[in-house]
Amino acid sequence: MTQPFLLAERLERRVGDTQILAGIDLSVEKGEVVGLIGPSGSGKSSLLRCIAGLDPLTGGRVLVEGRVPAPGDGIVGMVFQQFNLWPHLTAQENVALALRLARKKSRAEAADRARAMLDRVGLLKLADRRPAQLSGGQQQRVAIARTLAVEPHLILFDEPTASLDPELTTEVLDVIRGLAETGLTMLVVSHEMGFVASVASRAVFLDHGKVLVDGPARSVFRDAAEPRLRRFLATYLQRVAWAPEPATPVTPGA
Amino acid sequence: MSIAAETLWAVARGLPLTVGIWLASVATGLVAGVLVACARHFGPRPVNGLLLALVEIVRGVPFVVQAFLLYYGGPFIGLDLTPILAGWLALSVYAAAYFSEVFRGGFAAIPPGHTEAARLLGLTTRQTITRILLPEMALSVLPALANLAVILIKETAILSIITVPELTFTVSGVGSATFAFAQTMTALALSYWLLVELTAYGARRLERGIARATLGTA
Repeated sequence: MTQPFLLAERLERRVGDTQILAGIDLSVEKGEVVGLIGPSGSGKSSLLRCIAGLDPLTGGRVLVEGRVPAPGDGIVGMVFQQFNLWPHLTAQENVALALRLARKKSRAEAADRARAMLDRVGLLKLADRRPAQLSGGQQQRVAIARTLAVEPHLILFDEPTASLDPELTTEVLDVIRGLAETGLTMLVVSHEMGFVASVASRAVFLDHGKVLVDGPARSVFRDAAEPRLRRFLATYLQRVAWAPEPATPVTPGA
Repeated sequence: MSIAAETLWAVARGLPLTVGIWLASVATGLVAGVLVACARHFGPRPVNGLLLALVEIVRGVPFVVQAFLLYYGGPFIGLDLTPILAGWLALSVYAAAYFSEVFRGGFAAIPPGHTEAARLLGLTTRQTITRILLPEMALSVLPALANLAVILIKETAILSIITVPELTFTVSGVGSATFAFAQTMTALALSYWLLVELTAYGARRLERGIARATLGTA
């Protein structure tokens, strides 16, 4: 049996008395786009942070391409809810900095590549703007370009649209959708159920630090019987303005 | 020589040393302050504890006592410094303690995500500090740093008691010799005030420069 691209085994993370991850098993193949859904506090973001090596595990292990990933080794990239662009640098400088400092590219090479990356997310015209002069959606696209520029093998998206309005959300999701089509391996934490359903090949539902449902996105959203998942999805569907309010909780196969 | 001329001459003799020791101490204090703040923010816990204790000692003892202990007590532990060297060292340590607290606040005020993004992209801690964190905080720590620099100008006066021939030393010498205390002290006050105003002006210019460089605004 060959080693999966990403392997998480019995991941545990505990902070004080709080069990944040309670034994998570997850394996992802190269090119898969996995949507992570679940209520706030279910451990979605923690799972991403542990995979990226930003938060320490208290049990279990993570292997990416058979190795324990360390922040900065270039294997795992991450896009954050709060963008985390560096405010004193222009969009282009934000993208180019790591190319110059970590990838040791020349100033000109880094600038060229940064501009190419900004072009890819449709922001070449705004390359000289600083983050404060960009909309939230544009900032997130710069952050995506910054991550893409160093060519990570796995990209983690941590609620990339949670602080954006619906229009800006759409422009960011379109970029991510485009990336998914190029065969990048991605883990996407999102509360945009429609997006997860349409982009992810697989959906994983977490609650209280455990994986409750893991399967092909279509069947997770439509057919999975797990009652906690059905409750979670039902509350979401009720908030979609144009959807008829279900008289009874959505039943499997409906 | 008239008292006015003598006083002016004393100012002219003392001023360069006051400015020199002050600039030198601010420079070393800033470097040491950044290093202390970095060690406390990024270093292991025991290092943080040790530096915290040092900062608390330096902040808790009047500068006049520190200068006195270093200059007159130094020889007993093999630290036989000239007045100027002792003055520069004492003021640098004093400055570093206060500056480090400003930088520590600067580090704490930056969202951890900015550092995490840098780490994941492969920047070293040192690159993250020099290329991201320090430039990012520059504008917000500048007023507090300038404020301390202004206070330090006046702390240089303390160095007269360890016989550094700076402004207060030379000008009060004229006062003692001529008993013209009102005139000499007024001249002294005006000299320091002028230095402080120049510093404040410089800080405002610097603030605009940093704003242009880091925010792209005037």
